[in-house]
Amino acid sequence: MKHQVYKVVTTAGLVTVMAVGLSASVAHAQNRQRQITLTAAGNTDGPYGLAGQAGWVTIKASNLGSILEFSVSGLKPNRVHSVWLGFDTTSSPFSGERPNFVATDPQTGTTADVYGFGPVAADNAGFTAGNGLDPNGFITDDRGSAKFTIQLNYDIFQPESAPVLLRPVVSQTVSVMPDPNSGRCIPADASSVQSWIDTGYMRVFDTSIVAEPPEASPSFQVLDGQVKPRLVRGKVSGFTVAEHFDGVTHGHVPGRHIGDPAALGCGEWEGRLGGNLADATN
Amino acid sequence: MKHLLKACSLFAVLGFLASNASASATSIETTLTLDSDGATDGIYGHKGQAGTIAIQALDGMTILDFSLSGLTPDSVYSVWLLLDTAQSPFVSGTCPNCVARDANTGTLANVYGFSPGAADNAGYTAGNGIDPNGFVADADGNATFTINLNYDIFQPASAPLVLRAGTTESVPVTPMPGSCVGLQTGDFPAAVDSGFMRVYDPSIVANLPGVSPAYEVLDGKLKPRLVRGTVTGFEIAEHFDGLTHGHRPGLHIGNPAASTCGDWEGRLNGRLANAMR
Repeated sequence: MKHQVYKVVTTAGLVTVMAVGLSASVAHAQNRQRQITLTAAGNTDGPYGLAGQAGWVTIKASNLGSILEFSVSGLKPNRVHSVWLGFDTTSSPFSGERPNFVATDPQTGTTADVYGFGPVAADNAGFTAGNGLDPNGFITDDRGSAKFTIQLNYDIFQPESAPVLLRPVVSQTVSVMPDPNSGRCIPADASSVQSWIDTGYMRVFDTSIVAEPPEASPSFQVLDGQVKPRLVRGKVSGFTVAEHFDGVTHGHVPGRHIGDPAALGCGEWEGRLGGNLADATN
Repeated sequence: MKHLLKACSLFAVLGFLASNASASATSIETTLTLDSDGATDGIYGHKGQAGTIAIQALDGMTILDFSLSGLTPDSVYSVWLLLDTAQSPFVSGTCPNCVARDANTGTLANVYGFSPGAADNAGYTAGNGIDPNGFVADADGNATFTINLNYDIFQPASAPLVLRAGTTESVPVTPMPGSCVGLQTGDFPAAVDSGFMRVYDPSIVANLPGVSPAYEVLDGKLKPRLVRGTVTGFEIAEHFDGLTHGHRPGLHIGNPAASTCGDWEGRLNGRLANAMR
């Protein structure tokens, strides 16, 4: 198994994405190129407000993967952001209602709590969970602009292409609460805001495997190759660019959204730009 | 893929810093001989493994050079740091269901008594590719590789604590004597990954956009302060499922709830106090 590490340089020079033998291959096997205009999203006023942001993403996709070239402007200068893909949660493997989606393992029929979004990164990219920039993160320059490229090792135009993200349980709590008057986040003695640190992708299991260590694994995970577990995947519907008020990315999850009723002023991110894959033009 | 992904730059995150630092004065150089560990017979049994770790600690960093033999050929392994759970930030008497305290807030969190042998800013794939504390034994069951840590393991409270993750996905299997079998129904827990415990400071006055509302303490840009423990030793784990599991090793076969449905066993270990200087 050969790994190649490609450094993808943003204007801030900080987005690094691991891709497996992807760049050159996609360049020689492109069969689709599309562009999506990213439009402003999220709050426009208040402490979390922003207006005037814009952008686009050019997508070069083939059966070998996708290369996403982002160009964004009008964002807050020198701020940490991240890029997320939204799933079509009306199609397999999803069921349930936002925000309590579940997904079904097609092999076992078992369901798991999942999100309706995932990070825009190769499915084998390394996540730091904010201890450094995550592979779907970028930092705007001092004018609030950024140009960067993310390489995916799957074709986002295909159904069930992007890996589905498990919805984690709470791992750490903080004694703060949203101020009911100002909306800001303030310290509190009794109230604790939930803090999720990170999660991972939903796997496919096959319980018909007869475990016989050391040759046959006892874990029943389906492998598509060495160190390559098969993942439950969904259909990509669009993109969101998020700003992180706390100055860190959060791994496979974006952190707590300020629109989350349980977080509000103690949330740490807001969407700034969005675009639908269905609106992609040639 | 042979040996560790040293050659593939997966450790490059901090490696170049440690390499540059090695040119300056070395504060500690030592070698730790590892002892065989884990089951010696049965379906998970293994014998004859051995190894050493040459440890260099310098300028707040540590370079670990591993030389291992007698392992299962071509199997996936990972390196773990064992922590002193009798000391702060661990709450005394809570392990194996360890609890740690954020000294800043007094808040408690469920954690493990071990930490992955990797830089605290390394990227984890959670098994979708090899994790930064992982390696693969060669066809002869040997492995030689280097891990660079961006902290000094000889210092107290050096290695970051890993939050103890809850169940995220379940599998319809059950442990049976000598095997793990599939069922039509069942709810065997499969936690996929976790992350490091953070330090918070709720005395910070959030004032956007200048001051974050998240109350995470940052030691620099993109550098959250982590709750850390004191390293007491090393464990080398073999993964029967052919995968690493991110910040955690998966379920141990010695875990009563996992038993034969567990996916790893220790093969080598060593106490830092036994290192020869």
